[in-house]
Amino acid sequence: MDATQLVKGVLDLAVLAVVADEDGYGYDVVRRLRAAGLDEVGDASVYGTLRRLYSAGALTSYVVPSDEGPHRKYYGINKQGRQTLELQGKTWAGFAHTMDGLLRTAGVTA
Amino acid sequence: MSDTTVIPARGDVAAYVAAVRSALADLPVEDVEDLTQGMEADLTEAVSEGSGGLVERFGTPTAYAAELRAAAGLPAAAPRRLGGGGLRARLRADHESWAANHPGLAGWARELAPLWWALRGVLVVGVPLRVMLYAGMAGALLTLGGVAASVWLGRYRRQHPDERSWRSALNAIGDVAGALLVPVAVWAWFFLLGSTSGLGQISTPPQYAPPDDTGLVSGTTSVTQIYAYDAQGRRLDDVRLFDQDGHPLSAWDSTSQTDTAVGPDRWTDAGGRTWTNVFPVVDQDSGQGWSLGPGAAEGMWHPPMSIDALVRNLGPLDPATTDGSVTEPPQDVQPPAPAPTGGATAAPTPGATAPTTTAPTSVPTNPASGATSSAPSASKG
Repeated sequence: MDATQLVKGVLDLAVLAVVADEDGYGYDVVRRLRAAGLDEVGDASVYGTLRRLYSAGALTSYVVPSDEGPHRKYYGINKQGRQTLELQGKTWAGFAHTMDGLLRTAGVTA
Repeated sequence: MSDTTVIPARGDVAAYVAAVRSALADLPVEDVEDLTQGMEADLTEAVSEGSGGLVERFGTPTAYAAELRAAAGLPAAAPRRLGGGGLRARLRADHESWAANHPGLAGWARELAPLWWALRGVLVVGVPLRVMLYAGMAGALLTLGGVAASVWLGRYRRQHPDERSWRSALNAIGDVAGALLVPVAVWAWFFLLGSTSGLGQISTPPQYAPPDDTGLVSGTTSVTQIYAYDAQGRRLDDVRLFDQDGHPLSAWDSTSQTDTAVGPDRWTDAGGRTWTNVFPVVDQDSGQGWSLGPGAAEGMWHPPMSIDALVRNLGPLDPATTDGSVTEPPQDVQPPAPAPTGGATAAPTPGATAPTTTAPTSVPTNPASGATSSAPSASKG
């Protein structure tokens, strides 16, 4: 089981977290995810997730015009998104805690 | 192509994005827009920060598009329908997808495109001109004009890739026509220009030579008269000569002789057949072959009355011919009739009166006394 599989499972949560921290456009979100340590995440996956979350109503989007470059589509989090973020965040925290317990029992330290 | 220091050009990014778009062509427009808007800028930004080619970092456009779909929760791509987007859009999408997947080759193709524009101008204008056997300065100028027009069309098309007008149509027609004419030009180059009657040259018709009457040629000089002598050196008149195929030799060259020149007197034999190979050729004025008529030119050879007789070299030649050789070959000395061995040793009996010149028969050696009586020889007596 490599990290990509894990990331795919929690990519929604990661993206929501990043966008909740600060609005961002596609590549900006990718950059921040990578900076946080998620090297394996693919650009296309992030873009697709942003779109899906937007379609699901968890994100807002707006276009920022630019003079020298192309227009950037920014995503921001809304109320529904924050609710999803908290809910999924708690689920994740509980899951991680359970996993940690199992690993401790097996003698594996994080 | 996997050089990590290569920075993809902006055109490559555009091609990549276009390829991704084409892979999403079956989706609603707004979905595609949502997914790809800003993608070009993002890709350019990502590329400028890091190293490596587009395909190395982002995968092939098709894979990228598939990942977009999956992450966005959109259905996977349906099999390509032939009718989707029209032929032009499909060709464009195919080309852009190929270009994104082969950035090195695509870069080469892009750089060499002007050369193709010039070549297709030459082909499209020049080949029809040649076919019409039109050459010269005007043709060269027209061809140059074709090259200029082709290059202008190519550049315009590159600057306005999405415009659909008579210019883009003409450009496409030029591409197709040029591509079709390439094999024609290659064929013409190798097969037509290599022959003596190439394009643009007026081929001279072969000289019509009437059969037979072209005269005799010995080496490089034409032969107009033959004087023959036999082996004894005597002159021969009215000799008929034939070649190795049985064709009569004729010294009459109809292309060079005039009416006043000496011409062959055509003989007819008892059967009514006409002969032109009778030598020496008879002078029309004198009626003889051996005298040179008044029209004889200075310096012509005067044939002698007789020449030395031939002496055949002694050697292993067949002496059977009787063509008048002066000296007979030495007669083979006929060996004397070999005496029959039987008769020689046997004492000739008085009764044996048979001439010994007859063909001797083999007589068994018998005691002399009774030789003749019991001899079964039939020739005796």
